[in-house]
Amino acid sequence: MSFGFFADAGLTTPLADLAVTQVVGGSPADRLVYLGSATAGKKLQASSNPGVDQVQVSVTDGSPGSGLATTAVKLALSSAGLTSATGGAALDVGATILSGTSGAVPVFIRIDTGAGAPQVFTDLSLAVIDVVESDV
Amino acid sequence: MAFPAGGYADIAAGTADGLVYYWPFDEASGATFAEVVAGVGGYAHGFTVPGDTVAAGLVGNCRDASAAVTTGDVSAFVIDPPDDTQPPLSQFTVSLWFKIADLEEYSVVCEVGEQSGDFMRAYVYDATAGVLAVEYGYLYAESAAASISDGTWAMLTVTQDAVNSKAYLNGVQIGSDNAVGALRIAKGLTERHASKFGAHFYDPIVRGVAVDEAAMWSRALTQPEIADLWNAGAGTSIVIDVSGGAGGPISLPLVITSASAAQTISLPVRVSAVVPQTLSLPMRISAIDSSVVGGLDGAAGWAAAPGGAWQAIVTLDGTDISDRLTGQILVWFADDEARTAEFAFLPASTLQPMSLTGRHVYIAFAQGSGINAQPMFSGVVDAPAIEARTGIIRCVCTDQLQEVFSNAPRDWIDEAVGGRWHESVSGQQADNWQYMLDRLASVPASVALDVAQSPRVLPWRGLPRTLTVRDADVIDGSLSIELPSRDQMRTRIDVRAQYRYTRLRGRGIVAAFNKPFAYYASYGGPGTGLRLLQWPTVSMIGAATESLPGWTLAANPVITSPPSGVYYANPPDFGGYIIPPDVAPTLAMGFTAYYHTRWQQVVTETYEIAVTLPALESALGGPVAETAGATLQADSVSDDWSRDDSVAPTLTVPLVGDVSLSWQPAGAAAADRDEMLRTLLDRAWVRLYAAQRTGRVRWSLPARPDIWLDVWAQIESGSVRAAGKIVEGRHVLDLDTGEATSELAIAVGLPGGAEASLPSWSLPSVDAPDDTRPVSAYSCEIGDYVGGDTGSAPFDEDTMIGFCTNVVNGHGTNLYPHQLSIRSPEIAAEDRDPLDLTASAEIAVSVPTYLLEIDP
Repeated sequence: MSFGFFADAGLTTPLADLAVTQVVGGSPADRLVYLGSATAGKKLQASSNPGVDQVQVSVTDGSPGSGLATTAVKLALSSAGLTSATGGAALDVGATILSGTSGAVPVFIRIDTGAGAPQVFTDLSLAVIDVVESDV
Repeated sequence: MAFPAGGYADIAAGTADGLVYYWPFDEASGATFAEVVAGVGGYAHGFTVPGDTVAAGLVGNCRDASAAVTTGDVSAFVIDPPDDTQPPLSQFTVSLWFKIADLEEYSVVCEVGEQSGDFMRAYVYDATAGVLAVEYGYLYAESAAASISDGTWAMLTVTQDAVNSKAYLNGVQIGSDNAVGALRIAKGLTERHASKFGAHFYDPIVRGVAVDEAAMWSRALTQPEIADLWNAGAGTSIVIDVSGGAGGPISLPLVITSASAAQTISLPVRVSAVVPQTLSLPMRISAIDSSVVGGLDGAAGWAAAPGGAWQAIVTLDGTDISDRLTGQILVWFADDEARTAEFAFLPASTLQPMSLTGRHVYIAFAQGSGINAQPMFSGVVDAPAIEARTGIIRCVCTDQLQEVFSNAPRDWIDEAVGGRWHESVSGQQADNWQYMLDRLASVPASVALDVAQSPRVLPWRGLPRTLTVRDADVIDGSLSIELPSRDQMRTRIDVRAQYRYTRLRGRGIVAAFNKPFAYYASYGGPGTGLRLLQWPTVSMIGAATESLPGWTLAANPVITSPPSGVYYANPPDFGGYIIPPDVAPTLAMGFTAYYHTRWQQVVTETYEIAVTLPALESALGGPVAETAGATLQADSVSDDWSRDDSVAPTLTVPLVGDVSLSWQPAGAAAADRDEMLRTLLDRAWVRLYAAQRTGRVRWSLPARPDIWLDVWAQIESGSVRAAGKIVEGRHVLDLDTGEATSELAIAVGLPGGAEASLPSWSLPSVDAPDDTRPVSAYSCEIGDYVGGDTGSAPFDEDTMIGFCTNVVNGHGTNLYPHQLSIRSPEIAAEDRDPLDLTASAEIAVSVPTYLLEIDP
């Protein structure tokens, strides 16, 4: 699949993982990634009802009950939207996402680990589930 | 409304279709034929129709009398109405198919109606040319030639609605009239106007007419409906709906075609079976202790940099190679430059070194036992190198700054970077990286990618993160200060911009020569005779005014002729002369003519603006200058514009006077000029600002991985107080000892600590051109010169421009040629030559200054 997450709006830098650092008890850490494809002539749609159902970006937890809860992560389509976003809630990003820089969808992420001992959490992932890629 | 296929009609009362009579002529035999809607019968009236027979018609059978017809035979297919009292149809349609074996003029095709002259008649008007004529009330229509021919079926249709009557032949309208009328079929068989097909009652000429599919409606059919009846010449039977409903019987003709061979229609169907997929981006969230990034707000200071051992975490395409690292790990970062990293490792197995290039690298520094890991670098391997003796592979990595910006959409750059950009300043930029740098040149900010490779625009002041560094934090002896050199600083930027466009100009001038009657005929007083001059002639004026090089005659000249009459001297005994009525109009006392011309004048506006820092210039003892420039040029109009008044843009030239239009099309308008100037001025200010902040304060401290270009640092050393933005740095981790340091530098400039922002410029303007010209610029030279008189000078064709005449009855010498010449005014050089307009200004500005105190 050519679609993926990128660090930049030009879709130059595909992300293999997303490293985020937050000071314990400090301000939440905000990040911005782009969902898109640098391959021309592609589209991404939900497999349930392509072109009708929304493609969703969600937060998945590889080890529920331990590590960091998905509620520690908020998603929004704008920086301002993070304020009212609900931790752990999936984000609708459109019924069809076209490839190319003009079709890239910015996904704003806010992580708040809360109080606790310094540690590294690797149980959470950003995910786009059950989608199909096809030619435009 | 069009009939459905098959010719559907609804005869129920009040329905739209309104079929009232229909004779299909489909009987298999017999002398009568049925009307199948209202029961109106029909038969061969009075006699046997010669040759009448049932034959195969256009649709089903027809009545055909075309086989044996003799001139003078009287016959017709007569329509017999069931009820004489039925009302006439104020709106109707009559339609039938007919075929005449041998066209003969005035052969009647049909005659319908009885209403005192309101009957419709169609007949052959011109047998040779194949013309059919139709008459109904005021309607008279003739078909085009060759519309009907021997033995060929044709369809006649006549309609009458509330306004118009129309005639159609073969579905095509051949005439119409806006009169109204009424029609009903004839009363009885003995009536003169019995409705009939194929005969004229009074002059019963029958020429072998075959008829088929005749019908009448109580409304005017529309052209599409008539076209349905015509059915491309194939005709159609009319299906009758007797249900009275809007629906009713539906006819579905079956067309069965025997194909020569079986065929297959194929539509490839491409079915892609795909499995729903999931995109996943693992998150590595490091929650670190506040102590390792303490003091960032600066207010309380930072007591001391954290010490202790560090370890590196390095992944190569997601594979952790931390335990195979060796030597040092270095990470560099600087404003407007790519972040780079370097590390060395021993591969676990045989490795193709070239395969490393482009592979993703992630580097983090973690404290002690691996806690407080902080990302340091994310990017790709740019240049791997191998130490042949040890097999160690050393990788130099980049975060792809330039590549990221090269791929960034311009609208994203416009929004993220801001600033100004103008093509005349930067030229056309195909590369977005260069485009971004051009915009950045007008913004007091830098760019870089953060540790996650996301682009960031970093202002030079007003950064959200601050850091206070004290003596205790600094590694001994590492603090150094580099002040800007004179060569690095700038005290002024000389901006020179040119804006070039075309001024479209027009001028109207007058050529006038007018003399009183006495000029041409005068007498010297009592006892003297008349003094007569040769008159100008109308033809002479016409020739002289017709062509004036470089000018276009606006209109025919206005010529004043003398009145005819008899003119006497005083006293009359001394003579007189006569201007006859037929001669007077050929003579002239004077004339007035107007001309105009158009031309283009190139205008160059030059702006010379010095943006200066006066105080610094004074301090340095003179200017340290740099220049910047740009040229904006508007496209010119066609050269034909000057020669052809019809070429756009329009310019209305006054009768006498000047008009001008500055040709400044979109993209090169005055607003674009101003944007060019503002772009240059913004860049000049940023350049001055940048030149003053070339000083650097450098220091090293135990590793602070979190410090990056988004930090404003204040140095509080015993001997130095300085503040500025972090502009470059290097983190070094020695893997053998676990020692890590951060080498940092801030930019400092002129001392003072004062804020200053980008000025809002007040642009100088050039003076408008002075178009005031003397009256002579708008009038032609036309003098008057009299020869043959006492004292007349010899003729000089170079100087005697105007009307040259002679005393007719004089006794002097030096006769002149009787002529008229006109000299147009010159267009002055200042009007025609390129125009240079200049504006100069010196704008004193200030730039932010910095905390920079040294107390040895």
